[in-house]
Amino acid sequence: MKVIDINNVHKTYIDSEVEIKAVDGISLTFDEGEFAAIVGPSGSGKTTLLNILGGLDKPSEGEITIGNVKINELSPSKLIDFRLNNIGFVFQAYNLIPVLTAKENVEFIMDLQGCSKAEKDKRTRELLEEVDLGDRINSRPNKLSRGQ
Amino acid sequence: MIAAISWRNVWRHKLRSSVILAAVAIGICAGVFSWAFYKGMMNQRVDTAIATEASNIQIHMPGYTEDPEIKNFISNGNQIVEDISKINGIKGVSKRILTNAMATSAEQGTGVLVVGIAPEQEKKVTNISERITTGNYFGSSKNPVVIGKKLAEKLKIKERSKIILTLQQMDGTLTKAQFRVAGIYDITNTMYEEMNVFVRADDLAGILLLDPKACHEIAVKVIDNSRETELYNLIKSKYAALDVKAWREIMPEVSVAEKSIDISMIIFMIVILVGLSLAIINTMLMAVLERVKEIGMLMAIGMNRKRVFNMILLETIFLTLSGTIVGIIIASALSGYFGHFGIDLSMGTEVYESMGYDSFIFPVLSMDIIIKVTIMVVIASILSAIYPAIKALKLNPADAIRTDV
Repeated sequence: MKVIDINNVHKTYIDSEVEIKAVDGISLTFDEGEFAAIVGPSGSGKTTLLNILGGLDKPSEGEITIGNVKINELSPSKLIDFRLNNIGFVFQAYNLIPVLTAKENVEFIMDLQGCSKAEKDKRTRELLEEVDLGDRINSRPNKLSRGQ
Repeated sequence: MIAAISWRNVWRHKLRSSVILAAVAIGICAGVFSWAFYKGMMNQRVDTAIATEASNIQIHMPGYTEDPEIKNFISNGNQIVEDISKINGIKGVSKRILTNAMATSAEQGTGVLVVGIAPEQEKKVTNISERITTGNYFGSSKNPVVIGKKLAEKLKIKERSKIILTLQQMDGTLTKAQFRVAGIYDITNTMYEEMNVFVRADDLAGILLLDPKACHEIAVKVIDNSRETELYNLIKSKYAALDVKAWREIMPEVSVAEKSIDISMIIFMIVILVGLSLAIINTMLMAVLERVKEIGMLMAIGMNRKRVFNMILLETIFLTLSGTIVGIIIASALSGYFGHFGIDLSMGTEVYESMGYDSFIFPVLSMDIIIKVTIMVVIASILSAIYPAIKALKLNPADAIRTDV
């Protein structure tokens, strides 16, 4: 079943009065459960496409549909809500919140989503146990190794 | 969790936050202690005004305060004093005969207000009897007079000196009467001391040819000042034909000064807070600009603008309130210490006493002051947070995440 539909998406930036086409007429679909990788040389528009897919940026032209929602038509505040409830990010740099512990970093999004304390605790511990960080749940990022 | 992030963010840069905290603490301490100082000064002035000069309530014939003629007397003064003394809550009632006179000594002469009192009645109403620094509060000699320290210096007289009072009798005749100084009082109000001399009411009535039962003024002292308004209303309704005034009406300049202290100190605090706000805005702007990537990431994962704003707002409030609490604690300690031992401003004694203020001040810090300052600090924090928060809200998450700070 199709979950992501990218239809003729263009993204153009203006840099010192010069037009730069970062994404030039891409159309793609992704099915549920599908694992995909976007590869290309540096400057080919991978990050731009991912930003548009993740709702962090809007296309200059074209449509993006995730589930049943045309995200290019959402307002900025609705986009934030959509990201909170539908999209997960794994950043290139760790982008952890330095003042929160490992447990608090993991449960932060659940906190934004309004989950109960019991739900947050259970799910967080499960996830951290799964990656062998069960004994480091109260450590802050600066006390964890790069691998952790 | 937003509150936890905000609080912990305050201490991410311990040195920077400590500097701002110290600045806020010093500013708030200075403001709060000054407020306590002036409040104490004003309280002492009001206490002196009531205890020594005006009492809580005064009664006159209608029109007397505008035109203090000796013919404008209350004929049944003794009866009124007796009746009011019986009211529950009244500490003392004293009748006074008042007339202007010229007081002359061997060296000098000056205009004075002669106050004829019943000494034992007056003791319950004012504290002049406790402020005698030389001699006695009357005694048994003939025609004793109690004068102020400033007047004694002006006339170059001392205890047991003679002074001549030249005054006008009821029929308009000018007459002279000799009095001997029984005692000299010091109430740290040089203007009052120079103007007011106290004699026995019976002695003065005889000289003025006035009925001894009559008087020009009845002064009333209450036991508990918090009941002053209630008792004032009671006496005013009971003696509707007479002019009954509370001390605020008798000494409006003291009443206005008392009310204006709070307004003046609020303005002073606002000035302090405006200065501190500039430092806080600068600090929070630095905090936002250092965390562009982090804020972008938070917005990327779904932290909406309201939460981003609240995070910055809370961080500002926590930073400012932390300094405020420290400042208030220090100000409380200072007020407690000096409230007990006093602050000696005797280098300016003459200036203070000429306006009726004591030169030894005991600061008074009330909860009312702390609450007002805290409210002002919170408002200042909120206003200081607006610009940095707007800066954060304008970030584009996609660009912010790519930022290398």
